[in-house]
Amino acid sequence: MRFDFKFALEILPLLMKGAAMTVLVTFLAFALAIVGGLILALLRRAHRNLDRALRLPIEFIRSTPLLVQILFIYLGFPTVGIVLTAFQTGVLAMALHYSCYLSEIYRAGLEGVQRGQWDAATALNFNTLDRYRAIILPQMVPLVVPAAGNLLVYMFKDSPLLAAISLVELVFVASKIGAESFRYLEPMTLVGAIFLVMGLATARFVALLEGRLGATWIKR
Amino acid sequence: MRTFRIFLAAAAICFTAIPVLAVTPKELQDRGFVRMGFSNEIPFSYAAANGTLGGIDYEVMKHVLSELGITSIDGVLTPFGSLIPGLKAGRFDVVATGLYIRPDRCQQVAFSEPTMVVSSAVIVPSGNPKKIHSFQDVAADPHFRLGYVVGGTQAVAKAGNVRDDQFVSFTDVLTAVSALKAGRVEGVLRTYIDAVQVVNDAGQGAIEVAQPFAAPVKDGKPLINYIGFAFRTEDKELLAAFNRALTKFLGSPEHQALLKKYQIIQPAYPIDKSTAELCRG
Amino acid sequence: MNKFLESATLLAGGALVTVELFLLSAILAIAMSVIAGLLRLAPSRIVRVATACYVEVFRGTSLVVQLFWLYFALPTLGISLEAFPVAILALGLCFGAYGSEVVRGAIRGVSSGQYEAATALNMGRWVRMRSVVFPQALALLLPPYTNILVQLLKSTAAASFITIPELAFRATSLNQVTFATVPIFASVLIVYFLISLAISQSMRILERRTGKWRGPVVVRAT
Repeated sequence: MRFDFKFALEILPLLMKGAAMTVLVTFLAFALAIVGGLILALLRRAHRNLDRALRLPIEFIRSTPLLVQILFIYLGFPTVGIVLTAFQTGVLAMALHYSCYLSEIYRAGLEGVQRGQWDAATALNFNTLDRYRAIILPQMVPLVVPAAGNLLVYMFKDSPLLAAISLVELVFVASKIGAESFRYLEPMTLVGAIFLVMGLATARFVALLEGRLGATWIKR
Repeated sequence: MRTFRIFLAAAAICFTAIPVLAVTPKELQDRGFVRMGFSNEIPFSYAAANGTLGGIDYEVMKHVLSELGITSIDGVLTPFGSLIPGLKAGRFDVVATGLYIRPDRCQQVAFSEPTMVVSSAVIVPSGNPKKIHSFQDVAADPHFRLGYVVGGTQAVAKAGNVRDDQFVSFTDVLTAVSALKAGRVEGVLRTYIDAVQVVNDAGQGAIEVAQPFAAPVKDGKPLINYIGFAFRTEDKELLAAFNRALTKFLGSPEHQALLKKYQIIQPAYPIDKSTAELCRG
Repeated sequence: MNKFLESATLLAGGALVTVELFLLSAILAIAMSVIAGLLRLAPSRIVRVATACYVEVFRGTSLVVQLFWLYFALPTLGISLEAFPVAILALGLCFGAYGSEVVRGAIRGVSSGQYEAATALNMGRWVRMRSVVFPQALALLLPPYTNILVQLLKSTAAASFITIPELAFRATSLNQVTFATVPIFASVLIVYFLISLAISQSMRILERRTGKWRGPVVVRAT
């Protein structure tokens, strides 16, 4: 069987619509995870008991398959009355899962900020909020950007798991095209190519971000 | 470098490729078993939780194949949408899952003579809140989302003017049904006998088959579908032998007993069209 | 009670398949990691570039896409593999690519003094790699490789897409029959967690045993 370029061109618009959904879900989940991970990291720094209490759930979510977590939310929540759409489930599950990863990244980042900065902030009578806002977080950001960017790329590559709950994202659209036209080579190859492009674009974007935020890089 | 070459050799050995050659009845007899592709379509062919196969299509096939001297059937569970590609790729020798004989499918595979006639139905929440009694009713409600399984037949619904954007695709029937129960869609399109079984098994009282349901009509004749077994187009000898044994079996007392066992309610006979006619469209 | 036992047996069977999948693809992944990691440092440019292509393609595309491509698209080119080999191939190649980066980093992390000493002792390149550099690299790569193996375990769930009866697939099937959604999925998550703990523990034991290769001793303040 040869690669049918005409067919490939025909299905490209459909695939791009699926890709748009992939991008939407991933970015939304990433945005939520950025905030969620920070909250988790700060909570863990706040009090030793909180740290201990959060350690197990975070480790649990990080060490178990995202697919099963997605199914748990999609199929399990309705049994207690919460019915989420595939889109909502996808965003929630991915945000939760990756918040746990990001909390570790933030933790490393926060520890990477020079000890002296914390002490100076206290000496200058900063309250907690200002200390984080004005001194610590801005210095943490360049340390966190590379790892967080990496995580965004991972999230893209995990998004096809949402096809399991029939979210009309890129891989779901491709398998639908395959099942209904009986041609799988073109949709699946195009999907692979689109993922490569998305990955490269994201990596380029993150590198750019690193460059711009790296101006405040502080070495130990 | 040497390690690399060793690795290449090992990789080549590990490639357990199944050659895609024509399979003849004699080969199957020698081999001793037939590989059947299925996708848990109740009541056509499905696997119980412990792995035993069942279903009207499965049992009919078992009887017909035993006439050909083949007694062992190996079930290969496959997502519905990849049954035909899997058949063509040689993953199994026959598809027995309530496949409708359609012209576009005829171009990909060779169907046996039709075994059953079926009509379509819509599964709805209990009490049929949207009062669906035909596909036109579905089309008339702009907010009605109709779920269906990827690879399934939408033509009948479309003949009733259901629009493309009303369809919501699912990977399999049970996902679609749980979506219906959760209110993510308002109806699920299924074959009538399949719908009845699914409501019985997975309904939990929350869903029902929309009754009465007016079959869509095209050119003055009700649109119904014919079910057949699918073989690879190269396996001509196998198909011919199968058809011979099949025509003898259909209508026989054993066949009637099977229909009763699986509670195939609606009359599935007589089958008035041949596969050749159906493939022409 | 009977139903509970039936369900538990089914899930246990699924867990067995998951472990099988994990072990077999881990072997392939480790092999690919080492081979690709070493090949990236090969003298021949063609080999380096070809390996880099493999690594970038398998790291840059999603595992699910690789699974689907090998299962659905490859047959159209004439090679038809069964679901289980497809899963092992996809998982092994994908995580082999990720692992190769870890291996490469670890090899480069071995201090250059080791290379020079080995050359001074008249060791050939292959002997040098095998007896001197790689054992030390092993100590460096084990901690990050643990992560990769846990990721591999989590990714075995994706095999359910091609109807391999592993744990996640069994959970969904069971749910469609018994509708005991929360208990089923909660227990399945716990099983995965336990398996991942087993993996991390084993790796930690391995780390301790290879610790003797960790190189020069850290100077202690007296």
